Amino acid sequence: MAPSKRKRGKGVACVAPAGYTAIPVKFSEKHQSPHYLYVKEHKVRDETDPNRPPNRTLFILNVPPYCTKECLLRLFSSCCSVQSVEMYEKPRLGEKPEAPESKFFNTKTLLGFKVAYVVFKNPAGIQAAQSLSTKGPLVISSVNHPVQTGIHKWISGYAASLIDPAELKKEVDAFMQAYDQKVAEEDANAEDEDGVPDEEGWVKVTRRGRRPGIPRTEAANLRALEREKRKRARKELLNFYAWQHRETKREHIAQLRMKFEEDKQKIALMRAQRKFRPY
Amino acid sequence: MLEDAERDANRGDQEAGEANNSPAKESRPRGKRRALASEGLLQPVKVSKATLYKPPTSEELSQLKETENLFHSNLLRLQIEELLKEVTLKEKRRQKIDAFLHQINALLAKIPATTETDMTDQSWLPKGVKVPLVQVPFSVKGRFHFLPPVSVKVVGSYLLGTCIKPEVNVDVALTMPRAIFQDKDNLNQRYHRKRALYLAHVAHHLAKEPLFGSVMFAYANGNHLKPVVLLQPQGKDAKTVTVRLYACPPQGLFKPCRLYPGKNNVRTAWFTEKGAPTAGEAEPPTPHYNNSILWDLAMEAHLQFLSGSASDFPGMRDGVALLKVWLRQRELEKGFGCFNGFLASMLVAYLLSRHQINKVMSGYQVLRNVLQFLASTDLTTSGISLSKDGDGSLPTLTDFHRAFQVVFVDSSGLVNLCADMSASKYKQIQFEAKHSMEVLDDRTVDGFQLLLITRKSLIHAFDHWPINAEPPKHKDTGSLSFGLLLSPDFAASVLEKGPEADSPEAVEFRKFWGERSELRRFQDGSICEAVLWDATTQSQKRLIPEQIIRHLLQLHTDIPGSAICYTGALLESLIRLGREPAGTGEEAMVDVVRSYDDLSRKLWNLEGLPLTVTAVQGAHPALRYTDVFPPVPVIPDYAYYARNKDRESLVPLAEKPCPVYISPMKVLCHMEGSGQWPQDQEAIRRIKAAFQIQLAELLRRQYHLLCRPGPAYTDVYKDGYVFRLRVAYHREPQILKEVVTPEGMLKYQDTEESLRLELETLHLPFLTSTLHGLQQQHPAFGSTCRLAKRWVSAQMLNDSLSEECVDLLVASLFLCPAPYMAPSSPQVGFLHFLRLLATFDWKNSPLIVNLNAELKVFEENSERSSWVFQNAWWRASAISAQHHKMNMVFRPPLDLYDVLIHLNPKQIPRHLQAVDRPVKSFSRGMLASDAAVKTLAFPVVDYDPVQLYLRELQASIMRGRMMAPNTESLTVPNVAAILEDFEILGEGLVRAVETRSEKWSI
Repeated sequence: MAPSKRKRGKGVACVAPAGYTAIPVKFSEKHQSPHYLYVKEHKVRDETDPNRPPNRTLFILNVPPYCTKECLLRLFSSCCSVQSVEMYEKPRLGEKPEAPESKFFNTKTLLGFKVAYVVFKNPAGIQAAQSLSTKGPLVISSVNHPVQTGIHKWISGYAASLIDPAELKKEVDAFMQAYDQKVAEEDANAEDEDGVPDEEGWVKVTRRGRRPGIPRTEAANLRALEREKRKRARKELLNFYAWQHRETKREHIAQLRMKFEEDKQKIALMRAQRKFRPY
Repeated sequence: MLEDAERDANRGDQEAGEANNSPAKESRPRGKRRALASEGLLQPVKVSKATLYKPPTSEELSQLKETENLFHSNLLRLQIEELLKEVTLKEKRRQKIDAFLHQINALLAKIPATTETDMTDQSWLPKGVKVPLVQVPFSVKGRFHFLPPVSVKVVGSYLLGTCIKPEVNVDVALTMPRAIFQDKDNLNQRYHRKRALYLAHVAHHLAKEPLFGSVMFAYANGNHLKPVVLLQPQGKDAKTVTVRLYACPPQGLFKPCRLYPGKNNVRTAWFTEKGAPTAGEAEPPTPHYNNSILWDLAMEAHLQFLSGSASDFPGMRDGVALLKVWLRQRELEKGFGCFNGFLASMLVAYLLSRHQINKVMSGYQVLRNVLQFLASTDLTTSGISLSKDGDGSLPTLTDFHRAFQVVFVDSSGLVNLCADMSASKYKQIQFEAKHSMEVLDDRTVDGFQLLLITRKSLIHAFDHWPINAEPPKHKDTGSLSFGLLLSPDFAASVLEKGPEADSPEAVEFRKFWGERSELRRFQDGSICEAVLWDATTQSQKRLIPEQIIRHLLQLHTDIPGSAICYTGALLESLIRLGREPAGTGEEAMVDVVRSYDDLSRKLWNLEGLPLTVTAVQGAHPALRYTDVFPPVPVIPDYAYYARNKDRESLVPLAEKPCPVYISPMKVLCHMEGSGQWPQDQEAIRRIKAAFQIQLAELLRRQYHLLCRPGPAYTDVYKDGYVFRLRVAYHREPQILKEVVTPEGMLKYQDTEESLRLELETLHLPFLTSTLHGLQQQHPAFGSTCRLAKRWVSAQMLNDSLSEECVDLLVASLFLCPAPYMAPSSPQVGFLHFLRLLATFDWKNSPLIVNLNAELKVFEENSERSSWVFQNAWWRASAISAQHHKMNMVFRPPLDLYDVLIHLNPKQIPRHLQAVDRPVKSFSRGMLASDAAVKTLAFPVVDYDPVQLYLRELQASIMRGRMMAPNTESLTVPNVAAILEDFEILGEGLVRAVETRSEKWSI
């Protein structure tokens, strides 16, 4: 590497985006060029998530690919004890995760640069973390806490992908049991509501059995409309009056003209691309 | 003289005037169009209601009607008009040409006469010019002296207006004065010698003039008896025109009856130089020689005849121009015995005289009718004549057939216009015409593009030479190239079965095949002559034609094998498997498919499943014969692995070389629908997992297969292959799409997940089974796909061009190959693939792959293709120009890149698949395929460090740049740190990171 480049790299990195503090971080002692974590206090207007309490949550951008949750936990524990670390691909609001937690399903490995939310036990942690920017780079993989990358990482990833079928079966069974229960409850609820008017006095009637009636879907709706249209068209007389006849002819010519115009445009385009040069 | 040309030019003036008017009328839309063109994409047309509904003029009505009647469609009409505009001569150029012709005329009159000498005394000829005729034997009777031409006339296409760009040739006939001829000049090449001397003198004098850029000789239509002089203007106008000077005899110089096809005009004694002829011995007829003299005599008459036909017939001019383009695209209009534009005009005139064409027809209809005629009429057996019957003294068609292979007699009844054409040439033309008619009748393809714009070529011939060089002889043609059109039904058959042993044909058969023919007993009990070629693998079978050619040429013509270069298998090495001559993978894939079929049978017959299996479908390229490197059976060697006893599986070891790559083959197992299936996506996922566990259990118990179940799939190890079983429920994509609108209505909406699932469970299996079928029809399909994929990845385009996409593209080559035939070898198929990439209009028209001949569009592909190919096409076009260096094309271009990451071969499991295969690589933990070992632990599947590394790199580089979208300063990457990341992420795999650039333009 030419020295000029390295200088440029550093020069750029010092300019952290507005509102953020840059903390240098590098993989191990022997590496030279650090990445920068951009950190700021997590502040969102309508934050209601209890997992991200105001004043104590640090938002981090640009977390390098090899930096894991455990790493962040270890690195920031030096400032103040850490309550939790969350890591995502993109910044996200503190909504509830869509799917229930599972060891086997909906697992996603995070690749590339990430964002993280670190929650300290104490509001002082935020200050302490931001002051790291003036110190030397943080080291992700040290002798005491090595981080696996490359071949070692992939091999352990492969080993981890070998799962225990019995355990999987147990989880599936548990889930299905809960699901069946949920469905049964819903059914029971629906049965209870059957025939009971709501507060405005509406009664919901549901047909059950082999022919439950037309479902309320968009496709069914469209089909019904289409049928109506066809019915109407059958009843109509075409070319009965002279003006209808004229109209059809006019329409036909207009169509031909439209087509002609379109074709002309196509041709013009082809001409521009020299499509008519045979050789 | 030149009046005709002038008159024609005047007519052109008027036309030009009209042409100038019409664009003026629509000058406004033109501007709009130009703006459109610059974008290069079609926009919806906006026409105001008023213009759309205004009352039509009668002109417009008739034009609309004409389009309906005379052309297929509007578009075709416009396309043809554009094409004609492109090829016809512009007025400016015509004027230049006319001026040039006038100057030539003046110069020709000024050429001085010479004194009379013996024809063999050519000392009067100046040093700078050679006689443009091979004078063998040299001695000939007769005296020659030069006199200026009696008349100079423009003949041929220039006057008829059928002359087309880019090679504008104007034919000028010089009539030689009667005074330079004597009696019996029709004999023994005397006429031809005089003609050549005449032209030599003309050429010499014209060469001195500054008017000309070049003066050269050429053979007219490759006929070695007929030299012509080529003249080109000086300087930058050189390309505008080539004037060809023909010398012809004055009218009535020779008695036609002496030149009938049955007559002799070259005496044997003279030609062989063997003294006096033996009396009473009949001389052999010399029809081709006679015809060449007659042709010169009839030149003017032909012109008059054609201009008579062309008057009041604008369709003829267009039709002939189109025909010429058609011929030129197929390279049928060049060389000896070609089907040139003159012949095309004559054919149109013939059809007109037979009322098969009338004068109101459009150019397109003329083209159609001529092609129809060519396709349906065999001029080699039933010749045609333009002459009106009446004169009984003229030779009959039978006489002509006896003398010539192809017969088309002119209006005088004397000249065979197709005299030089060979029967095989005509057959080729007929074949092309038939094929073109099929294309024209097929409404689903763009006939215009295929017939008139797409080039189809293979031929070369020499053209012209400087006037001071010796005339070229036949043997100077250079090496001959033959293109073979193989019939896929027979090309790869190992056995050529002949007639029964005792039949008379057997003798002939034995004579033809020589020693290779031997008697064999067949299963039906017959004993026949047969030829057996030794070829076991598909790749060897593809080379049987080569074996046949080498054998036959050696046997019959004594051409040694070293003189033959067969180029049918240049690319085979790229898809060859393994070190030993194991063929090109077709056999390996057959084994895979066999094993898969067995597995699917076992799945069908499983006992103890709560729901039945309704279908088993494969979705792996190897199962449709298009995998570049099909899986090979692997028996793992335990010593190379760590072993996880609980899971009965092997795990790679970091210090050993990366184990062999096993590609899992996806197999879908559709389960019966039932009310028991839950209607919630999470629950369906769990149930599928439960099924997968159960499948594994049952396969293990009932068939003793090694299985490894998982939440998303179950891996099955069978016959050394790994199949990845996945349970599918047909309603799952539907359930993923369900959305409830605020009004409580159920709506179906595509989501990313549902599309992915549909692709995996519906489209890919469908594609796999359909292409599997295609492979059965076209044996070259699979290997063509494999070459194409190899090339796409070598160009590092495989990110944007998915494997399935390439398969479909290649399928389109086999489904609608027009104007070519469906390829019968992978190499040809691959060249077609490159041509498709380079020439197809990806921006504006979707490529529709009509699988199973139902007009069903694979929509996602046609849409996707439009943007994907834009970066592919220019590479293809750049490369197709130099595709003779085959392996080069498959070597990835590296000089474009700023950073190269060098990998450690030890950790590359597919090291041996490189284009330039390394001489040695590492042992990858597999036993020989016949090792008698029972495998009890599951081998390492789908573990390729290179792929894993690539994925991490893509993720970190792509997203690393795009963090914080609001903060612009972040988009400047930290280059130094990123370069270090390359090494950190690929620890153990990366050997070195080479930076080749000092300037980072980011």
